[in-house]
Amino acid sequence: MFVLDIDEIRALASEIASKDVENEFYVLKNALLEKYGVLLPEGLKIAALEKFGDIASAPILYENVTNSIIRKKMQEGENNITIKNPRALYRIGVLGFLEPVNFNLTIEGNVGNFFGAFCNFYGTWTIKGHAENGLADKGYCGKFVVDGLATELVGQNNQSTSYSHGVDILVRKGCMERAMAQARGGNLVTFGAGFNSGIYMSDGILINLGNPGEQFGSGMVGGVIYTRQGTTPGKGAMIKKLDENDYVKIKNTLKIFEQELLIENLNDFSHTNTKLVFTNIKHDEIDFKEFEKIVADENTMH
Amino acid sequence: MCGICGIMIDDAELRHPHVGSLLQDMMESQQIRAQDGAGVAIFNKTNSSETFRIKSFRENEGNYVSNETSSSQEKLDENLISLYDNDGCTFFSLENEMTLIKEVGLAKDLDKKHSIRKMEGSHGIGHLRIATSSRVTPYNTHPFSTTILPDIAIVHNGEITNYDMLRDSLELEGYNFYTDSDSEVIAVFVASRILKHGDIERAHREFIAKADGPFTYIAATPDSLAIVRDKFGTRKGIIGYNPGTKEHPPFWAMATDLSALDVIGATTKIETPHPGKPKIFFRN
Repeated sequence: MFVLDIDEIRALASEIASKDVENEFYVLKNALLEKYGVLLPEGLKIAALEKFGDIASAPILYENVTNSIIRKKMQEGENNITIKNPRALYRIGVLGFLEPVNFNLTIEGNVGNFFGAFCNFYGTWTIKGHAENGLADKGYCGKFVVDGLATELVGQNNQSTSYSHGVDILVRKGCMERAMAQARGGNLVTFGAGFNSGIYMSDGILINLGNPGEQFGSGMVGGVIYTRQGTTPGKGAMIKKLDENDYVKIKNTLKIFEQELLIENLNDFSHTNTKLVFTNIKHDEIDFKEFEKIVADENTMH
Repeated sequence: MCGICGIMIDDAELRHPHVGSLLQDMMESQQIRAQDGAGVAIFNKTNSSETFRIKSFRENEGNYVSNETSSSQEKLDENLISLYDNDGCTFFSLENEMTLIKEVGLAKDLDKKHSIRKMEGSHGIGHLRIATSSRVTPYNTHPFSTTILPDIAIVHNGEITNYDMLRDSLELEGYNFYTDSDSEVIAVFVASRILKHGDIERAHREFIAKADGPFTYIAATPDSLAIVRDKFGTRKGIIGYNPGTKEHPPFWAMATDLSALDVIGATTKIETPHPGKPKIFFRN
């Protein structure tokens, strides 16, 4: 297992920081090459100076170096990577692999906007903290587990293509607004979701195990949202009762996170056995008889 | 994509040495969001006196210089009218216990110039601006204050899409505007409603009901700090709590980005304010 503490990179940069910002970039570039084997792109110097006035305080430096180190370790065959002290840095885990890669990533702390955007991996990426806007944005393949909450646009543009089924996401403490916005596939299981979740969904599954939501599924044309009764549908969406097939879909989706949610009786779950016991969260027992589904309102579709 | 932040110390002391430093950390951690301007408003009741400070920017061949005039309560209206009639000057703050500072540029440069980290108080707000609808000038930088009531400041992330209509209606009521920024309308509206109803929560609720567009703003008065999101929650806002240590007291913090709460350890009791419902903290 490889452990990267981003505070070590911060300390290195702060040690090198000087009034000579031009020179600072090259000293830092050499130090990072020597210590981590990664090369800073020249464009980063211009961007850092233009936006932040120096190199050492530019967050884009830390994003770039962190992702380069992850990429390098991956290519060297490492398949378990832990990141410490992310301090809500933006865009960690944006790696740009065209083919799916196989590795687990654990983040000890909070992640910033667009964590894991465009991801394409097999394995589990676990965030032991909170996640910000656009978690797994335009993700193709992979499994995410967020121990805390996630802000807006979780799983936005979740991709389903001829070679990927989309990203599977579990958010233990709930999502803010517009979860699974414009999702084209994938699955999201969450204990609460904000306004306009499922807006413009065209495929995929959102299971909201938390309180009823508001304005779910506005403008949706496909996919399905399972949520507690009392949720209001948005314009272009409608509420329906669950049928036998829905219980199969819920079971298959929860199966992805069976290990994380410690669901005791998932194998017996069906339209006749509608209660599930979650043993590692406060919502001990959930009866899916209290759930309904929100789907596209075919009467409003053209 | 502006960045906003606010902090309120959770005890009865009025003058903590940490407020400026904590706000500065929060602003620098969100610098990635915006780089056109930075500003703070910090409240320190021990500063209050019988005189008011009227602050304005004076333009001189494209450069802006900050001016400060002292005024008694009796002469306040006269001084404000005189400032309004002065073409070369743009009002930006009416202060008693509040200190409002704003500049074009980065947060770290604001601190270098004004020693924000040394500012003391019970609560404060900060802003990082990326210009969208108005020019990059110091007076369009946040926080925005008003001449309606002293010691009110707001910072805003988003857009008020019916800004023209709201501004017209407030101008018809007799309230003055000093910039072309849509954010100023929040300050003027909220101050006018506090003046009218004497109820901060009602003032924010009325703004939510009247305003269109995506927004989150933080508003500070001498006794309150409020975070307000539009009714659909189309702009982010997060609240967190730091339970305190031997070195510093407990405090509430609020911001656009999680990084701002993370950097000051305000990561317990993290919550997101409900869209359309103001979340208000009152000074102990």
